[in-house]
Amino acid sequence: MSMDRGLLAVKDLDALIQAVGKTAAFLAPAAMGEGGTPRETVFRALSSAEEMSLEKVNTRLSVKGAFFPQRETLMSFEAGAIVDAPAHDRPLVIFGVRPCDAKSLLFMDKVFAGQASAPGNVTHEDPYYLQRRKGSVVIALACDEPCASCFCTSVGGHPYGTDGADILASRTGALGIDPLLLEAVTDKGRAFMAEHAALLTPAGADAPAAREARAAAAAATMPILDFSGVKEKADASFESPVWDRIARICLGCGVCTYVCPTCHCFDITDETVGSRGIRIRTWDACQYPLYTMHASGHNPRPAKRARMRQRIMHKYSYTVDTAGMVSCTGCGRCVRHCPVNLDIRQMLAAVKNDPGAAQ
Amino acid sequence: MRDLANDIRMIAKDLFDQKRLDTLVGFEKGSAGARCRPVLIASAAEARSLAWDATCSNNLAVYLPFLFQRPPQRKGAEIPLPKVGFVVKGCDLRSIVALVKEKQAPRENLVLIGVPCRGMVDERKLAAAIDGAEIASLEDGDEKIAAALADGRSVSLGREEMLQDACLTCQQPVPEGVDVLIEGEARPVGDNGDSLVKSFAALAVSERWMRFQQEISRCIRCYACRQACPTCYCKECFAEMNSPAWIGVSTELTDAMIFHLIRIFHQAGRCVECDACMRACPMGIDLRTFTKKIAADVRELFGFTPGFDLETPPPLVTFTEDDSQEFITEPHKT
Amino acid sequence: MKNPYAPMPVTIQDVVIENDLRDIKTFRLVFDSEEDRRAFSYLPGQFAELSLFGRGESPIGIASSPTEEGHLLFSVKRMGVVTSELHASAPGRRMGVRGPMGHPFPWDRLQGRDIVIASGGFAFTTLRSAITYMLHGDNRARFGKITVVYGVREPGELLYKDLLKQWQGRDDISFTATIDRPKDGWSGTVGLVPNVLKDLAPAAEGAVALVCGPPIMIKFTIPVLLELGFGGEDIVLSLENRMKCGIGKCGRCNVGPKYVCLDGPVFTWAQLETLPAEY
Repeated sequence: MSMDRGLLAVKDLDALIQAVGKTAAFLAPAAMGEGGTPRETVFRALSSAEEMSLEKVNTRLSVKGAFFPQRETLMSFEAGAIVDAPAHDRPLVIFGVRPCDAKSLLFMDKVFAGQASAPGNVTHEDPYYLQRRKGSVVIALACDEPCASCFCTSVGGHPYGTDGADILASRTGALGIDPLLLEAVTDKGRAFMAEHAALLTPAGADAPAAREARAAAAAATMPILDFSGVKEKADASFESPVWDRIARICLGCGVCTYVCPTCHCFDITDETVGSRGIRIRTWDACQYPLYTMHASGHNPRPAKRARMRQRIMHKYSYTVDTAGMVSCTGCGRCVRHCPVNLDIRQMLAAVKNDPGAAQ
Repeated sequence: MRDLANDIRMIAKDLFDQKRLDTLVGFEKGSAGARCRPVLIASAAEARSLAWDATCSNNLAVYLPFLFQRPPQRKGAEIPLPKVGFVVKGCDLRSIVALVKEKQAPRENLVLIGVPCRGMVDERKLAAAIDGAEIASLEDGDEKIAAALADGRSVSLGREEMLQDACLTCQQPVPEGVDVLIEGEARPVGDNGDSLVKSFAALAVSERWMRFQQEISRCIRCYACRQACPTCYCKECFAEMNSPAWIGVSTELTDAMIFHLIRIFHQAGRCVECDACMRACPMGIDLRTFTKKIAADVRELFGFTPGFDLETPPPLVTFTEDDSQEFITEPHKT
Repeated sequence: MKNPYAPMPVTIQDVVIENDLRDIKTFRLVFDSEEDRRAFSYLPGQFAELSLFGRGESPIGIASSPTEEGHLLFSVKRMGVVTSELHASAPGRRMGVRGPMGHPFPWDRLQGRDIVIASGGFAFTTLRSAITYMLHGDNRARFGKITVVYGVREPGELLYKDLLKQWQGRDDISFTATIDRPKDGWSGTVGLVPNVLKDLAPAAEGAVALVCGPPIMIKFTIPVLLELGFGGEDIVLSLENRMKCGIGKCGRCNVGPKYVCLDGPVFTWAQLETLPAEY
């Protein structure tokens, strides 16, 4: 049995969390608390609805941490041999994922499934990420109040977008007061809604049209920036001094990559106590000066301009070739959290309008 | 209220016209929440973009090592070092002085434009005051700051309540020893946050450790604190070495704690307590309590605060015969 | 799901010091499991990640040819943490191998062609694999003339000295070892690889060139080949880059839209010209 559409009353959210909690972890935005500003949230495993905090601004850290954690034990070893490679069996329900973050999962899925490179290459599957994804249900929450830093509609996204979501939840009135409209996007989403049908009530026949109207209103709040031709221009501007101008104030702090939903660079290191140890992977960033340093001392990207160029071109050019999509989803976190307020939208405009020829 | 931005623009333009500068580091209007952001300009024409308001909190000295670094030069054929101008508050200047003492740039290659400071706005306090709403523009006033919000509302906020803690307690609001001092109002001299350090130091050691552990537990090892700090400029940070690997690279708590302990200790005698590290941290870790504690310890042990004076050698690179040897001879004495 | 991060257990069977500086050693590795050995099916040009638990991994080109059954050979220069640990290891030590990785030399296109090999320094390792493969009785007839120029700074730095002597004695391969500057005791060719190649002037018609060496050697060898008439598609190089996962996920070896570990490490000169020079 499957279910396409239904309403979830606010009072029933807690019951849903309890029901899910029997077999899966329930992740949703919760107040960041210490270190955060009011209205700032992060994804946390919740056990009750009162811990949930659905705010206008996106979570501080993106949803990628649920599938690709900052620190992950790949395997443990002893006396030179593998002892264990952890599996990840516990299913996951993530609620309140903004459409920009949901869309980012489409890209990350390709990377970790080995489908983000030229055909003819070997397909390597990452069991750590893929097992978690397989056992997950992504319930996206549509945005009605995009922020000034949001620009999803300029990169093929939408505040009511369903890319990467199993279910799209949207408000019917006031968030936290009026019911949420749940609409299944995938079979996984349909099955989830059927499983919890007892907590859902039928949506009216006009629900889709009302949702369309809200979607259009939300999208209309964001100016659509013209990024057409950016890839071609960037490809042709590799040696242009525009990259120096763009990157000049960058501190190389890496915050942009850590808060970004589609940055997936990582490092692999071994940590030992005696002859026992673990091989772990941790987030890394192409913005660090030593990222590409060879053992010989040769560094292919010794200058800041090269590293900033790599970041922008990876997201707006290279992944178009390898994964068929611009990998930036316009979530705006890099704009909000850069200590020197570098704005990727302005950087792209600079590249697009750069008159400079090759140096 | 004087329009300091205009003064800065004129002085910058003159300096370029007189060919006294290759680069000038200042502030320009940014994009997020109507704040300013650092800018590096290279011509008189670009001086037009210079700005100055209550959001110029970044410590610009962070760009100095980068602008002066270069590969080893052949003797007799050295390329001359650049001439770089900086628009400096008291904190920026004290960092620059520390860097000059560490030979990161010769003083004669710097042109310093000093700006008396009334204090800079704390983005987090601002966000708290308007309950996380988005800001479209800010207008700085004498007593008030007017915030125009993205949702159309206008809010008037008391300036003092919005300032950064570092600014509220600042002891050096007027930069001294600059080449050009802009005329303007400075805030009154503060007490350097004495009470914060005292209350932290009054805690039992185990409580202090718990506080430290609690704060650092949020660390995601992004190194933004290190990159934003003007006096953290090692080409290869100890945290990234693998031969030997001093610490692990992950968010494992002990590794994160040791990273911060060592980084903060490396700043002893050099940290000017500007809070650039804390502002950059995406997890909102309260680094201020710990950086200020180290700075207070240096004051107590060596009677030294990094200031404007280019002559006083920093204590931790200075050795005199009558230095205390107690830490060797009587290590258990507290 | 197969775990591409988990190394296959191998044991060091033998260690040979290759050069006078004693910083390049060839390790003979045997798989602990027969299943793993059979599954490790490779062609010359590919590489593998050598894993030493407690230290990390290092991407190293495979020096053995698939025609040398039962074991794998890797020639490793001591540079950092992992390779130093490897150099301090004795036969009997257990370690791990992940692979084979990357694209091999384009053997489909090399069939029926003359092969010109230009190599310098330590990069010769995967060419040992390629040459051994081509010279094998089962394969030799599939290829035309084989011309090799292999240059090092000093005679002591030549790898596989015994094997080189054998090759120089054969008549189905033209093998020239060369050193940079004249040295007592060396009666062979003297000259930098690009210059020796220029003098030899192998015919470009129907030939493919394999070039493996340090960036400076490649920089001066490419023009020589182009002048001899080799097209961009017929000059094949093997790139090195910093790697971590070896499977195109960690981003470390990303150059333009390519991953050196996945799309490479073998690239044609024509392909490299379309890539940003960030390797």
